[in-house]
This record gives sequence, C-alpha cells and structure tokens, in this order.
Amino acid sequence: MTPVFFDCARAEELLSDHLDGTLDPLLAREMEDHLRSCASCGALRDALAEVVDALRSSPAVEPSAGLAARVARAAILRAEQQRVARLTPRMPAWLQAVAAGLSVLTTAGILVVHGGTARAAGRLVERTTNAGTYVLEKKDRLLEDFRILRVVVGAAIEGRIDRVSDRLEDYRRLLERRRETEQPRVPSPAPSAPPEPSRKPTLSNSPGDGRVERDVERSNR
Amino acid sequence: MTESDSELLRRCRAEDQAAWGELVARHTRRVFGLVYRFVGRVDEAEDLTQETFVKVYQNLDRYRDSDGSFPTWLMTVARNQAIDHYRRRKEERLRRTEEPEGMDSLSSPDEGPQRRLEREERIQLVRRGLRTLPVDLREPLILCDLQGLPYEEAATILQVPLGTVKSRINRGRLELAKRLMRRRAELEESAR
Repeated sequence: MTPVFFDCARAEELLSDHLDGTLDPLLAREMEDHLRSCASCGALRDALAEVVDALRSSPAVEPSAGLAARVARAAILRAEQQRVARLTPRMPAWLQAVAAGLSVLTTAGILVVHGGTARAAGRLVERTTNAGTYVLEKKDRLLEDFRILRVVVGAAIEGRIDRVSDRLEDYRRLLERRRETEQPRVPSPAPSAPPEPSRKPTLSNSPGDGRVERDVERSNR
Repeated sequence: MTESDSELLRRCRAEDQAAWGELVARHTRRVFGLVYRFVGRVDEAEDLTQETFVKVYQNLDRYRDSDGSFPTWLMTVARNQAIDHYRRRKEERLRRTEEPEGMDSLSSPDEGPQRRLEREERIQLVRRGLRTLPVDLREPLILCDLQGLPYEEAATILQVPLGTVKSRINRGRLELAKRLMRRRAELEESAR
C-alpha cells in the first residue's frame, strides 16, 4: 500500500527525477507503487515520457557553410570599427549643451538689444531669408571658392609652397575681377545726400545692396 | 594535437586572428544549436550566433577562469543574446506557429505510417508548447533536453541553483505533458 505521505502532488514533484533515474531507490519504489495504484499519475508519467522523447529527438539543424568564418571576420571588423570610433574626437555632450545654451542666450540677447522682441524676430527672419537667397544666388561662386580653397589646402599638405602662392595669387586676381564686374551694381550715394551717422545695419530684400556681399568679400580677403 | 581553449584565448588576446578563427570554428555549431532552439529560424539563429561572438570578442579580456569553462561562459553569452532577442520579438514569436524543417528526419523506419504520424504530431505539439512556456521554464528544457547539457552546466549558464534547474525542468515537462493529454482528450472527444 502506498504510504500516506506519497500523494499525487509528491509524485508530480518527483516524476522527472524518476524518469531520469536519479531518484533515491527507496523513493523510486514508493513512486512505482503509487503509479501502479493511481491511473491519472500513471497517465501523466507516460505523457511526460513522450514529452521528453519528443524534446530529445528534435533534429539537429546545421548552420550554413562558412558561418564560422563569417562570424570570426565580423567580430574582428566590429572591434576595429569601435576602436576607430573611440579614437575619433567627439565633442562631449555637456559641451554641446553649453554651446546650444550660449547660442540661445546670444540670440535672445540680440533680440532684446535690437528692440521689441517680435520686431527683432521679424528682422532676424528677414535677414536669414536674405542671406539664404544670397547664398543660393551666389552658389556657383561659393563652389568656385571652395574648389580653389581645396587646391590650396591640398598643395599646403603636400608641402608645395610655390603652388600655394600661385593659387593664392590666382584667387586674389579672381576677387579683383569679381569686384570690377560688380562695381557698377553698387549704388553710390548721391553727393547731396545727407550722411547717415547712426543708421542701424539692415539688409534690404535685394542682395544687390552689397552688405552681405561685402562681408563675404571681406572674409575672403 | 589540438590547442586547448585557454591557449587559443591567450593567443586571441594577443590579437592573433588565426587563433580567433579557430576558436570560433570550434564553438560555432554549439552556439548556433542553442540559439536556434530559442528562435526556431536558421537566419535569425545565424545572426544571433554572430552577435554572440562579436560580444565575446569584445569581452575577451574580461573572461576569467573563475567564470567557469570557456564553453559555459560562451553559452551564457549566447543565452543572454537569445533572451534579449526573444524579448524584442516576443509578439512576433507568439504569432508564429510554423515548424522548423527536419520533421521527416524524425521518422523511424520501423514505425508504421499511423504510428509515425502520431509521433510527428506529438513532436510538433510539444515543440509548439515549448515556445509558449514561460521563459524560466523554457530555458532549462532547451539547455538540457534539447541541447543535452548536464544540469550543472545549465545551472551555471542560467545562474540559478542546481535544484532550481531540476525543479523548473520538471515543471516545464509536466506542463507540456498536461497539454499533450488535454489535446488527446479533445481529439478523442471530437472523434466520437
């Protein structure tokens, strides 16, 4: 007769150990007795054996040929990429935040200094638009400048000082030619016009008023 | 004579790529086998295998003998990768019910067609059931019953006591067995 303490719950608890053959011999005998006398636990033991058989008979799936070589290469490549990324200087996040904050404060300061906030904001938008229009109109010239700059920098890196001097001379001549072609388009003030001692700097809608253009040229020089 | 894992690891740390290639070749099949049991798809298992070795390569310096044998440590990394993947794809995985390839290979030539069909259906049911088990019950079954690892190694990989592994294996098997019994009862009921 099955001892009282060996009930169905206890049998369930020990079923796997029983199947694996790791149960203490005394317990194993009690388990056998219980399974003989309890149909539901017997059925559960059979189902459990089928489950273990199904799990263990799962076919082994092979990886595709060459996976090991691909994996080994990928790991080395990824490590290299990370090493390069670590060596590349990167602006720290706090510095970026400080720069962004300063930028906002400066913009706000400019708006306040130049009078009413809404009016100043309008002017800022207008100026930005004008500058954008100017850049679009002069993009060919800017590209030309950029190409010359690239040649100059390349020559400097190669240590060919003579070529650098030649290119700078070429660039100076180019700027002069540009100035000459644009001179007639800059309106000269009428002789009788009164001077404008404290005129605030503004940009008109026309890029031909020469202010931005002169700034660019000044920076070019 | 083949070099031990320890020797290969020493060479890997000295950035010997040939040693790394050999170490990967030695353990790829094992890692693939484990992660495949988790994901059930060859392409995903290969991706996870790659991610596992990428991680291992990045952490070669951190591995110590006290972490257990290298294969055990490797399987721990693979298991963690598989679990992360599982969490990311949980919803999709629950919807997917198709069986992986290889069912034909389960048939025994000694079985009659009826028995073979029943066995294949049972295997399919058990595998589907395995995928829907809670992860804490599923993991030890995958490691021990599917991959054939000793319980002790599963305990190290899962970082739980040996008794917990045994208990979870029993609970997982019981859950699958009860589902199998319920399914049979339903089929018998519908056949009447």
